[in-house]
Amino acid sequence: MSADADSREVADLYRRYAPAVHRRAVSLLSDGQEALDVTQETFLAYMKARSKLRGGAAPFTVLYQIATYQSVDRLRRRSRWSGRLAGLELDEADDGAREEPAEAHPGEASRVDAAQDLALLTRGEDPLVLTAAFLYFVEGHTTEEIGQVLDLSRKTVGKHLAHFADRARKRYARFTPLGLQ
Amino acid sequence: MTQGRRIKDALLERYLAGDLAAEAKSTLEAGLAGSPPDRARLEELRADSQAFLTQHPPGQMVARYERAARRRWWALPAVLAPLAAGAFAIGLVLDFPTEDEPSFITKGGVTLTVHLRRGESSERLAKGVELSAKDAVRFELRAPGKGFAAVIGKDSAGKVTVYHPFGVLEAAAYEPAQPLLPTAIELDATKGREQLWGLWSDRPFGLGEATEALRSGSPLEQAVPGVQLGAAELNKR
Repeated sequence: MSADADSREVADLYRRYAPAVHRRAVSLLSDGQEALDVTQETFLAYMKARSKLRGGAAPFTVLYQIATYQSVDRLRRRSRWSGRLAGLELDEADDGAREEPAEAHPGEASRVDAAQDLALLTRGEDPLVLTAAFLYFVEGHTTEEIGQVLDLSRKTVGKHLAHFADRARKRYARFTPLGLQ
Repeated sequence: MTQGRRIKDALLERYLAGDLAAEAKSTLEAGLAGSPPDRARLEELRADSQAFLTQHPPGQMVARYERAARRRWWALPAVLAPLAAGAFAIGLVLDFPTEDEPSFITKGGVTLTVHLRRGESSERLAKGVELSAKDAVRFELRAPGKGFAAVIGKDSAGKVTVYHPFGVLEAAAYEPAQPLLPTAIELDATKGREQLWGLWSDRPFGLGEATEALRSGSPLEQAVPGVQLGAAELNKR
């Protein structure tokens, strides 16, 4: 692909997805300017790696994961453990229909604290796992909703979350002498 | 924030970007039809998108991309999903282990093996196995215990790629009970032999020095002291 064609592709992708990518970054960072930088870095990373994407991978799912990963990486740098993240328990009754309103979370301050805690616990995790963990443990998505965002089956989301929770519980113990709640 | 909503923003965002599959789109539209608060939120997002693009048009992004492309942006940490369900269009021949002729090298108890993904399962590749379009490759890393691991490749053109965790310059958490790593990768069209390394340590470690050593031809062992290595090789044609 020529440089001109690449530039046109960047512009087209940006027009279509940048607002969502920016809002994703803002939701995690609460800083519009920093989110703008993350937005641009997200598209640069996407363009660099797009040749390795699986056939048919929806740009939204990939960009969403990159934006989440980049934002959490920045969040992690300024995070201190607060202990506000609830125990990393999967809802065994999660049949894809968690009774949680779309806009509900336990208050913005708690949510920010929980996000910062989870940022510390997701260090070294794959972008896919990290994104699923944030959507589930901080933002209250069901496994089905996460599957719809990331193009995964509910079962696969559940497996990723369960394995992550096992790993995170061990890290959690490093941050609090009380262990998991 | 609009009260009484049932559809999460992430799904509304995907819908707004026109990126939902037909069935999911129909389901979401049915949900929207019965939920004025969600329709209102969708309109908020739509208006916000227009405002964002007015305030931040693509020009600055394109200029930054073109500057980065000129530098080849080696240092930019690309991050991608492991794309566990991945399938890739490639044609290549793998020069890879058989039971009686392993092509991997083991140091300190770490072994690296390449698998060919077929549907939901994977099978270890034997020497000379020819892959066809839509095949995907995964890695099996066997290490002494829980810790952190990565897989890095260097192709015949000298290009170094972190395959696991894909594009990330930090080793991922490793569980010995799950030696088949979740990352499925596409091998590009570069012909010739590609060397692969599996790295493991019981402590977190970065991959910047390892990738730099591989690019410069320096010994990998010296770049990552304390990290155990396993190596493999494949041949693409």
